[in-house]
Amino acid sequence: MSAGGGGGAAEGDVELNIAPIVDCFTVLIAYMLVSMSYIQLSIFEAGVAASPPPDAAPSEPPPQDKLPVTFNIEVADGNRVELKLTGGPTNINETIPVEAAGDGTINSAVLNEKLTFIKTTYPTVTEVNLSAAPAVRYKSVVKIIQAVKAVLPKVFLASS
Amino acid sequence: MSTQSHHGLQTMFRHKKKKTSDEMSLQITSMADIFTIILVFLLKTTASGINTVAPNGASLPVMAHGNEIVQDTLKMEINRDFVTVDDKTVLNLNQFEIPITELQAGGMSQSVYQAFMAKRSSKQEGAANSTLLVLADENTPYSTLKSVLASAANTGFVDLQLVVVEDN
Repeated sequence: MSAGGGGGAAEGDVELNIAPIVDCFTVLIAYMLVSMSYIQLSIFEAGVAASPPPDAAPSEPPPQDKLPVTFNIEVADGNRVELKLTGGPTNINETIPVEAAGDGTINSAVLNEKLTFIKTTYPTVTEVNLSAAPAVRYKSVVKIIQAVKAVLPKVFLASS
Repeated sequence: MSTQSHHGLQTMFRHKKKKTSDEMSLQITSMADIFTIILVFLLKTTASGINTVAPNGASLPVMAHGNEIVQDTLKMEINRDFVTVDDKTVLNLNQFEIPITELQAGGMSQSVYQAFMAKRSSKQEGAANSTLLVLADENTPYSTLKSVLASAANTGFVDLQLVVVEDN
């Protein structure tokens, strides 16, 4: 062996035996690789629609020509979705239904189409309040949030 | 190599035993170096990565893509049998349903509200932090979600980060 390699040690030479350390490392690495999670998690940001405190003073309503358009999404049992637009300068009251897909899930394609239409028709709308029937599953709620997030920056979940 | 330089090397690595040709020695020093680097990398990934928010039993909804988890914040999980806040069980559920005795005015859950209040008053979750990481099972009914969110909202946790599994 070359001079730089490990070899037998003579008197006075101390040589670290790294074979057990390598063994430990091998076991540790194998354990960590097995226990690692390979799923990729991500998030959707949403707010909670909080009701104003009961003792809050009523704020003065804005002038008629500056009334904001309120956008609500309601999910009924059976994943039927209703997109409701109210208010605005012309005092609109429009409801756009989105029927569930054939397999009973949220019809994402139609929902995306309707949301894009709303965004182009009412560009001042920047947020939506989302509420659902008690039996509607969280999966459906998240699916709607995903669709909404593609066109609107803010989603609020109804908590009351 | 000259005799002088050879003598110098001998001095530097003095008393090294010369190996005979039938003596095989594996050079494991470099292997140990590689293993150390891999181990440090894995430890770093495990400590600061996704494992810290992995659910304890909830089957998260699978979605196409979302945003990256940007901050490590208070974590709440809802699954079939219980609700946890920071990995501590605060409420037992019956097939996702909150017991009626738990419900307060406004649809809040008493135990969950108290758990959030305790977190809010602790130093860890100061008054400024309003973000809550929500890991809910995909089959959680909205009624349960609404009660838990009402409890969170009443303690100031109004910015939700709904965790989903990315569909690859």
